Amino acid sequence: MDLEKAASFIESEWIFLNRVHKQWSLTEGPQDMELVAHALRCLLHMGKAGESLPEYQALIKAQHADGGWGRESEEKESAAWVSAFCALMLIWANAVLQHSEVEKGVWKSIDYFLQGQKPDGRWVDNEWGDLDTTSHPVSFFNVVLALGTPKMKEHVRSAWRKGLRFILEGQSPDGGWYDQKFHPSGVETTAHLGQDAVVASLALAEGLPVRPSAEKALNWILNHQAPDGSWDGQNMDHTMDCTRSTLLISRMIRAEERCRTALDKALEWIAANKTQPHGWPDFPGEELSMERTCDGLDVLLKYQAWRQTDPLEVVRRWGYVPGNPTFIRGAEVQV
Amino acid sequence: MEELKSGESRVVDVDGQEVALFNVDGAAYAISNRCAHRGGPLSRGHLEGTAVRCPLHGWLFDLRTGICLNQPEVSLPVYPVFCEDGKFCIK
Repeated sequence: MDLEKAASFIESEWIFLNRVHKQWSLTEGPQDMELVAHALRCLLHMGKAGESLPEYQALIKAQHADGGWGRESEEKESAAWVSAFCALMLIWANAVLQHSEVEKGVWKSIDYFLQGQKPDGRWVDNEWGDLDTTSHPVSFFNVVLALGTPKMKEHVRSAWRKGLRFILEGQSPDGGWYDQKFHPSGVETTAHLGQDAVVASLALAEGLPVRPSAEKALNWILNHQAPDGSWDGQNMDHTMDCTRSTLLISRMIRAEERCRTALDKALEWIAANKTQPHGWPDFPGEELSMERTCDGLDVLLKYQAWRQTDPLEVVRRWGYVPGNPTFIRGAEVQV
Repeated sequence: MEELKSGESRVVDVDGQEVALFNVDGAAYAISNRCAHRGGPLSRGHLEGTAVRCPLHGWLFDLRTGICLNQPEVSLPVYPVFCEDGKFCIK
C-alpha cells in the first residue's frame, strides 16, 4: 500500500471515529471497555492524548478499587485482559499528560497485576486462555520498564521476568503459541505474544535473550498467511493482529525485506474488505464493527510509522523505546 | 442439502433470527448464529466434531445441545432440523 492511500484512509477513518464519539467515549456514558481502550489507542497515535485529559479522567473513574477494570464500565468484577489494555492507555497517555491523577491510576494498575500473578508467572482470565491473558500484563510491564518512573520499574521487574518466562516456555517448537481450550489454531495468540510480550525484550536494556523466539514466531506468522493476504479464515481481527506483529517483529530483528510482500498483501486485503463508507467488519461482507474499525486505523498508523525513515518510530507506537515519549504522531489531521 | 456440503455452514433467517446451519458428516445442526460472549458469528467458526468454535474468542458450543463447553453455565438456542425433499427444514 502506498503512503498516500494509507494517509487517505487514516484521515477519513479518524474523522468518522470523532463523529461517533458517543459510541465509544466514557465521557458520554457507560461503555464496553475493550472498545474504549481500542479507541483511546487511536487517539494517542493521532497525537490527541495531550488535549484529551477528560477521556483519561473518565477511564480512571471507571477503574475499580483493586486497580482493574471490568469488561463493561459498570461491571464490578475486574478482568485481566481488559485491565491490561486500559492500564496501557494510561501509561502511554501519561508520557504526554504528565498528570498526577493518571500516574496514580498507573500505580493502582501495577498493584492489580502484581496481586493477580500466579506463582508460575501467568495471569488468568476465565474467558480467555492463560498464554494470551499473560501477554497483556507483560506488555504493560514492558511499557512500564520503558516509560515508567524508576520506582515503578523496580516494582514490576521481577513479575515481568516471571511472566515473560512463562510465555517463552509455552512456545511450541514450530514457533507458535496454542491454547487448546480457547484458541487451538494459535493465530491470534501467536500474533499477540510476538508483539505484546516477547519482542519488546529486544528494545529493553535489561531484556531477556528472546531473539530466537521472535524469529520463530515471525516465521510461523508468515507461514500461516493465506494466499489472499489474510489469516485464520479471513478473520479481520486476526489478520490485523498478524499484520501488526509482522510490522514490529520485522523491524526489531531487521527482517523487513523478507516481510514486505506479506505485508503488502495483508494491507491490500484489509483495504479491500473495509465496510463502506467507513470502518471494518469482523469478517468480509459483515456490518461494521467499532472495535475492528479502531484496529484498522491503528494498523494503518503503525504501517505509516514503519515506513518512516526513523527505524524506531514504529517501535514507539508500542511504547517499548525507553525514556522517549515521541511516539506521538506529529502530523495533525483537521476534523 | 446438496448445496451445503459436509463441514460447511450457512446463515439462514428463521422468523427474524439469525441461525447458523451446519452439515457435519451428513447430519444437520442449527444453532443461534451469534455467540453468547461478544456476538461473534458462529457460521464463520471452526467445526470440532459436533461442536463449533466462535471465531472471535474461542467459545466452543455443542451443536446438539447449545451448551458452551468452555463456559458450561452458558448456552445458545438450538433448533431441530429435518430433511424433506432434499432440503433442510428448521422447526
